[in-house]
Amino acid sequence: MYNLLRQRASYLKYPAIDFTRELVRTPSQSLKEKLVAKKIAQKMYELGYDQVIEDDYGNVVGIIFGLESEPCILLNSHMDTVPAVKPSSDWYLPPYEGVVWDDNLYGLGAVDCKSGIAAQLYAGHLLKKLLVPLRGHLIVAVTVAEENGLSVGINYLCAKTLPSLGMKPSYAILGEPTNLCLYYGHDGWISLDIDYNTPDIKYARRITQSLVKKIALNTRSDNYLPELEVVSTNKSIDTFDKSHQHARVQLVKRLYAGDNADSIIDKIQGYALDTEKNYNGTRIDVKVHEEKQQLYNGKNISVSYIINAWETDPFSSLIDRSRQAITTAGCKVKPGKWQLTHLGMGTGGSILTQKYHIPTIGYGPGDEKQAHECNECVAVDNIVAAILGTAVIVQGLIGVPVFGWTSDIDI
Amino acid sequence: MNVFVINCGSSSLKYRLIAMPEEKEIIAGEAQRIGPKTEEPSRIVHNSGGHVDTFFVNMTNHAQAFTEVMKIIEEHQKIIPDAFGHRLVHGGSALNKDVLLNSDILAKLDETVEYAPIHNPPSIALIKACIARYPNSPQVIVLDTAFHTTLPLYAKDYAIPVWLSKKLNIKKFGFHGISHHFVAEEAAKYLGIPISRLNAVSCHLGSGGASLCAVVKGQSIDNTMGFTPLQGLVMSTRCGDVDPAVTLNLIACFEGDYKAVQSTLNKNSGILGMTGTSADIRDILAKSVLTEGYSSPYFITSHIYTWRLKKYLGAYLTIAHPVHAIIFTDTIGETVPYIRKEVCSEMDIFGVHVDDKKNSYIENYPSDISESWSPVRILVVKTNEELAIARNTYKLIKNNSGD
Amino acid sequence: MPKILVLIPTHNMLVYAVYSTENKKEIEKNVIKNFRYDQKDQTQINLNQTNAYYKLNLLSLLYDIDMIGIRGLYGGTNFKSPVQVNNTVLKKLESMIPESPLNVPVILELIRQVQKIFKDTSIILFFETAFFVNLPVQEQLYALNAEITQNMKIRRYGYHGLFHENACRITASNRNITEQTGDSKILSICLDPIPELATICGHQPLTVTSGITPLDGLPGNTTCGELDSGIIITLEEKMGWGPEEINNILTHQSGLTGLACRKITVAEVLNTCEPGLIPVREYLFYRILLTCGAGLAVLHELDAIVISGRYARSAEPLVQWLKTKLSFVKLRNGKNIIFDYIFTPLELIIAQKMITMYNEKQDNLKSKIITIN
Repeated sequence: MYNLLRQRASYLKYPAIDFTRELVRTPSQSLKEKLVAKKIAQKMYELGYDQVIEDDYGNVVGIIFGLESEPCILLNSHMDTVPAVKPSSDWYLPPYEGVVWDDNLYGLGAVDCKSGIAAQLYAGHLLKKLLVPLRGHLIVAVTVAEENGLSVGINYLCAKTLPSLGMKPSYAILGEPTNLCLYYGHDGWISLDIDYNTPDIKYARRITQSLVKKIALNTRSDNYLPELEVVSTNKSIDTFDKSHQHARVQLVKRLYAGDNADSIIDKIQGYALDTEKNYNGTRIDVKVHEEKQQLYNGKNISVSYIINAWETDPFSSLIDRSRQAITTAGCKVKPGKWQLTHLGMGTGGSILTQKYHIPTIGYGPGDEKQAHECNECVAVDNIVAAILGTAVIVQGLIGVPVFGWTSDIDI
Repeated sequence: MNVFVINCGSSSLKYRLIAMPEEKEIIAGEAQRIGPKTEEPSRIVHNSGGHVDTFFVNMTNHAQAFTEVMKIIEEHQKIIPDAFGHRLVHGGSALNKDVLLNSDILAKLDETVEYAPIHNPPSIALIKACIARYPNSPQVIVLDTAFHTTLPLYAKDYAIPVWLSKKLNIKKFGFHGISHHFVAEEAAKYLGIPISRLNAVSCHLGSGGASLCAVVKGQSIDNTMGFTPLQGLVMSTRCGDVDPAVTLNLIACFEGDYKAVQSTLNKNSGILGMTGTSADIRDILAKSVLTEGYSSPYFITSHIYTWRLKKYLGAYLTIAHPVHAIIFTDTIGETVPYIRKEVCSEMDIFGVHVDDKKNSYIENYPSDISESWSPVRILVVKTNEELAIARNTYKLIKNNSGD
Repeated sequence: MPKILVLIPTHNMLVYAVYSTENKKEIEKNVIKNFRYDQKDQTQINLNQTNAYYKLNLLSLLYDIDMIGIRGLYGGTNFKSPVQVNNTVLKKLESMIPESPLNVPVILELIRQVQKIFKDTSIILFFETAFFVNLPVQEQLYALNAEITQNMKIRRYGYHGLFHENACRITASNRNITEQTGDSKILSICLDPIPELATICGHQPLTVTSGITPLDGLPGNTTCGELDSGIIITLEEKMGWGPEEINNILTHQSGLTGLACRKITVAEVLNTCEPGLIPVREYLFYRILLTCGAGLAVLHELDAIVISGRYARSAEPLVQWLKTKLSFVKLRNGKNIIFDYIFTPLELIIAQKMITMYNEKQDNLKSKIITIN
């Protein structure tokens, strides 16, 4: 069976590349995913998915029905991208053309996460085309507002859409960039609004520096990854306008496994209280940064800027079975975790594992280092490898066992 | 020469002191319930010249059991054995024949554990305890697998990639070799044929494990057990032959927990697994078709048991042809006429004809239960693994001292 | 005159053959490679654009096809004989997908495609396992825990029922066995990429070497045949492999290929003079001899040994060797052992059965007309 899957996956190379290019050519910054959503839905119909749904948040869900309803697997990638970090003129290949050069596909979102979308859609198609029976349903969900909306799309999918379909995933695989490794988690981060109410606004910068120093002293510093960032300060800090006694600083702090957001906030509020003592009449409030946003379909939502750290047990049967399946298909595999080289990055894994208790791993064609970077690109061979790898993982987890049977014996 | 023979079970230790070459048994006994506490206390049942004593002593492991046994023998019998014969179930890749123990061999013993992780460790612990107590006495290791080292390649190999077989030393080892060899020798004596000319099919049917062995010119050419004792016949709790796809499916069902699968196939299959009530075929046969019906699990189980036996018997009669004798031995083979009859009936095509009258009642062992005109004799021979170990021990020591 | 069409699908290829109902002659026969895909980009799942569709459509235009026969590998306990496709049959087949996940879905898809092209033509399914549905229970079952046997529906089947049944019927008829001595007692050896031996008494198979899947039993081109389960446990433990990887090794890299250390077929091994392959041949011959002996034990008597299958024409070295090893066996008629060869290809076996059905149908029609008149 694996020989057959490998052979057939190779035929999907150019269609998958073409589709990824099409997605890259369709700009889909967060909250503006309408056009790309339509293309994804259309492709699912073409590829023969049994049911294709666009839910109230704009997520696109394709389903391949299994023989029974359980165990059910969710393949998830997000359709939105971050804005280009630099203007198009700075890219040596244009960000919205999807140019393939030197076996790499270039463009904004190529890695994060449009090649992942293509790999997952075609993985489902591959299994369906080869008539590989599945015990439970295969759900391929391409969700909105992951980059800017902190996975509100996937949250809605799990809270409302899937339950309305009578489906609860037993496992989830994210198509986020993992460079074809099996990723089992990442750190989180929390964005905090530090609001000052102070009689002397010139204190604000000093207070910020003091607070940041205090927080930095009490955080881990044993790796090279960013721990703390000051995202923004509002103008009032710099103006020393005596009429403005309010200022706001937005901080982003890394969260580790086991960190509790409430206790982090309490701790920082504690530092703030200490800091207040040194500045008479100053009051500092710490709370999670929230924003009101509007999805592409007009729906208004409120987003809290918090991504909890998450980790699936690296010795769990999910990772073990996935590793075994990929190895049998002749693909190399190694486990790892996303590094989150910038604070503010994340995946839907946090929501899936922490809130909905769905064991989750990541397996995608892109390289995390390329994500959100200028000249973002993905190796095209990785897309084919990801189609095959994702298909064999799905078969290994929810496929009907095929032990003892061979499909390749010719007459 | 007084040879002390030690035969370890998982929670027992059988011993005999046998005067060789006379083959006279001086002492026999068994240490029972070794290891964790059971409902009844651990004990040594000691038989000396027909007089049986029971000693209740604490024995948490086999080494301790050995010490207690030897204390009894030294203190009560005032005997110190001249030599020791130890049974080892599996020699692995380190040992492929019976050996006189030396420091090199001793160093290799631990390598054999992985091949028989349940049986070998107590035997090795016991060997070490014996050496410590009697460092100057010759010690011989007699292997259950040694008799089957003569299997030809086409019988020993499995049809898996050669590199894999070589890497993991995967081949058919065969088991119950001590018993099969012993009963073949006894059968040859009984028939008046030199062992080097004997062709036979030996059926070691125990209340636990069971195997058939095809013997040609006194040498084993095939055995129903394989790389492990799991292969072959239907046994008390082992499944015997099974489609590899079943094992793979079970591993997937148990989410990769191969130990659980191993336990299921070894301890919760076979007669016990099929009936759910007993692991002993005698209990199953006792529930006759008249009381339980042809579709009852008991009838079906007994039918599967005898059917597979019969097929293997036919297979081995074919490869060992012309066969002088079929030999039945061990608990079931020696004491259950129904099994012998079922397996040997309608085997005229092989020249096998069982005499029902002789089969139903056996006075002496060995006994011939075939029709007088049957080209192939059917013998029932009592196995005596301890005597076989004593013979091999004596022979090896004599040859060694001769050298 | 109407024609019949025989279809034999695997995952990658579709063998088709057209026969005349009048003289049973083969009119056309060929193989469609990649039949489930289209020429252009190999991705379409539109059944109207596959290679099979184009060819079958052409056949429907060229010939007056009265009946279509499709060979399926696995029919489970539901199908004990050839069956005409209807909605009930399709539903039963769908329920059997978990039991034979690589074969049943292919058959279902092919049936749907054929139904679209040959709109009102009868489709008859012939299953290899059908002949073995009534294996004696002591042969069917493994000595496994009763709960596992029941939950996993574990029982033994044979996977060359069409070859075995045909070979035994012809042999019994040619040698007038049934007339002379009642039910025939035959050892049937099917030499195919996965060889299989069955013992048959009359029309009743008593034993078969295959298992719950074709993996058990005799070694094939790349399949391991019977294997100590302890080896599988050892592979998992020592190599860290999962069941998929072990399955891949046992189904694609083992058997005669595994022993020969190169890709090889049963036919090549049967005919080889290459010194390096002699041990491989000895292995195969030995396994077959063991199963012959096992078969003789349950048959009690023997009328013939028959060879069939795709590699039957390569069987001579095996037959000569078996003759010496089984020289002690006397047939029921007192003569020395005989071997019959039945070279009928699978598609012709199916065609002959269908022609018989066709003729019966015609006779029934005729008798109805006579009655009305």
